[in-house]
Amino acid sequence: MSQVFRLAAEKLYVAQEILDRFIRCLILQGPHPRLAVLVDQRTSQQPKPASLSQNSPEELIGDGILWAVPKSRRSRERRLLRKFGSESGHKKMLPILKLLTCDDCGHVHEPGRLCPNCYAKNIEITEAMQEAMNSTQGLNPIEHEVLPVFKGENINTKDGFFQGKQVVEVARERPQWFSRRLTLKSNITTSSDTTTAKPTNLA
Amino acid sequence: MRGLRYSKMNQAEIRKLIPAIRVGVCAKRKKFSNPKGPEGRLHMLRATVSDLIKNERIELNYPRADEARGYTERLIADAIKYGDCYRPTMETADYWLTEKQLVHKLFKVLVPRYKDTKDSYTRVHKAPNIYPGYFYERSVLELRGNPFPPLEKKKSTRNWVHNILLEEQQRIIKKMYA
Repeated sequence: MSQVFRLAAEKLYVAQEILDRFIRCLILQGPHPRLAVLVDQRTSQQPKPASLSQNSPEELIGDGILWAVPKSRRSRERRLLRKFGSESGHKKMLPILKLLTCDDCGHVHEPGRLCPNCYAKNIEITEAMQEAMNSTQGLNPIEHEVLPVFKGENINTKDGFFQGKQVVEVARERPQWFSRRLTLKSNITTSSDTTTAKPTNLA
Repeated sequence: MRGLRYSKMNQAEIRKLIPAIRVGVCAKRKKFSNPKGPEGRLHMLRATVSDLIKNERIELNYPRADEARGYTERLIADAIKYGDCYRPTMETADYWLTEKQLVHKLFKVLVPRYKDTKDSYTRVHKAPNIYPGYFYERSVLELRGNPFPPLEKKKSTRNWVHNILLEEQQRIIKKMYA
């Protein structure tokens, strides 16, 4: 009895397989050549399998040749937005986290660079001094060092020179942080009578 | 063929003829592509060097500052070594300084200023970057000993923790052996 059942099951399985294959042929790839006669004209106009109809490499690759390529030119607006961002708009640039505080003014600056606050103050004075220097010297041969004299400072000069330096009058008041003694070397003493002072209170 | 052999003595003499530049100079020049080519690059650097010697402190981009620095140092070093009575040095100064009052300044002001120093004659600082905007490495190139307020002050390391501890230790030792 069991043998009979087994044989029946096998035959059923085979029949099922054949039916499945037949259905697959009809649906996916078109009808089997031997069954072409039995099929309607509508179904016979189905597209042929890929290997038979397409010949050129472009047709084989299709749109793949244009993958990973810009579709249109980036406008100037988009380009600048990407590079520099927009303070008022929707793209803010990343914050700079590597920042230090200046010992002198307390403002923030990047490591290895000058403090912007100190530099802005400095360049204001520097440019005023440079302007005064260039206008005083002009195109005449420059043979002396420059001694800047700010507003309100008095120096006795007759010919525009003092201690071998050319006096340049700057049209600004001397800032508090730019003292006159800064420009002198530290080992220069002002008084003529100098004696060496021996240290007394040591430990 | 005998004439082509250079003895070791000749090489040493040649080395002494050129003054040593006290600043790091790259053997390979910075290209600075210019519509006029290498000559245009020299014109541009010449303008920078003249501007520096005239104004003693200028703002520009870092690569150009670095390149102009080498040329300025060499010019000043040549002027110190040979002086104004030596023709090739005077011709060099005449080429590099577009305004002729600066030739006087080089030999009469800068040479006495730097004659006895062992340091470089120029300084380069990195200027603060400006955001947002067209980004380039900003820098300030200046001559040492200029009359303007100093950009960088020497920061004292006396208040650093390990220095305070070492000072205290020295005081203790002195007391012990007093």
